[in-house]
Amino acid sequence: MSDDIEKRKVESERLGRLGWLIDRYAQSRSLGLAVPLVVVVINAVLLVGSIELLSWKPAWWSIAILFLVEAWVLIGSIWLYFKLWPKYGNFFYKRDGKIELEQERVPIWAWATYAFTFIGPAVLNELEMLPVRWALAMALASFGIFILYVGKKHKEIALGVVYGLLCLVEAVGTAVGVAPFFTGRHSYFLSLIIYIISAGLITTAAVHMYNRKILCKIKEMRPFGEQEANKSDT
Amino acid sequence: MSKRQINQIHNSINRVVHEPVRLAIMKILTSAKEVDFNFLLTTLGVTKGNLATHINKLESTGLIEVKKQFRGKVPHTSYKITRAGRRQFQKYWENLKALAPQ
Repeated sequence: MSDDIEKRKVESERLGRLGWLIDRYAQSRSLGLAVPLVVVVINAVLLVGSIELLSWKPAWWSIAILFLVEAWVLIGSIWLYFKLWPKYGNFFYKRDGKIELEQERVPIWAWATYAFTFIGPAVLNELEMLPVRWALAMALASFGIFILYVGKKHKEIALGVVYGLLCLVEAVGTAVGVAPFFTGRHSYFLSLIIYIISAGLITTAAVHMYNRKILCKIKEMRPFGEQEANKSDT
Repeated sequence: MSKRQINQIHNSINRVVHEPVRLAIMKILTSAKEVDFNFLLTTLGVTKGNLATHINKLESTGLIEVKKQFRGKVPHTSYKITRAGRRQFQKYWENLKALAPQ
């Protein structure tokens, strides 16, 4: 029994490390992020298209279309977050199996602060009270900080850290004077979408590579090896 | 620690948890809300039959809870640790720590 306990103590240390790796592996599943990114692109195309339609044919129906598109973008994004992300977050990891972690709820005040600081600069820019550069920097900083916070709360640490920090780097870059992608009409909106999508794509690829690396490490250090089917342990 | 105390701890060690694969299953389940069969298979690297045997043992002793459902026409089984399982696992670690040489 004493030898057995000694053996178990060594195994338990390895198990502690294995547990840590599994935790990291479960928190770095990033391919699901591709789904909301695609929807963001569709939303952006719909929004720019409906605004262009309104300026090309100003009529009651083009105003109605713009209103419907805006409603879809605002409600659709929230619906997407609550419905599609939990469903498709694990979709690409069917072969690896599913793990659900204990998540903390993001409080309403955090959502409200994020919405205010993300939409606020767009409104100020539209009213020509804030230049594109500062509006972009503020919106990206707001998005980055919110992603960092949500990543922590929803146990998507790797995703939150990489995506959040990339957005913050983009915000700082814009604030110090890096020119936005587009000038002229829709320069704020299109630049913002491009920054968010590109950061999202980089995050998806980088975190997925990290996830695979962690899985290799788990496979290397599994303490049991392959065992015979239905082998009795007692 | 006296010999008597050591013996007492030895005797109180949970033999169901005190097995590497089951210990690993319990470890994964303590940090997760719910895990499915494939996930345990991928991370533990045991055969399906072996995993099923260990899971049955944990379930029969009330340490884990098994949830069977259908996703479309495909059966899907997931597992979560019970309150008693969490308590037993915690106690097991405490016992193991108490036996560590000073």
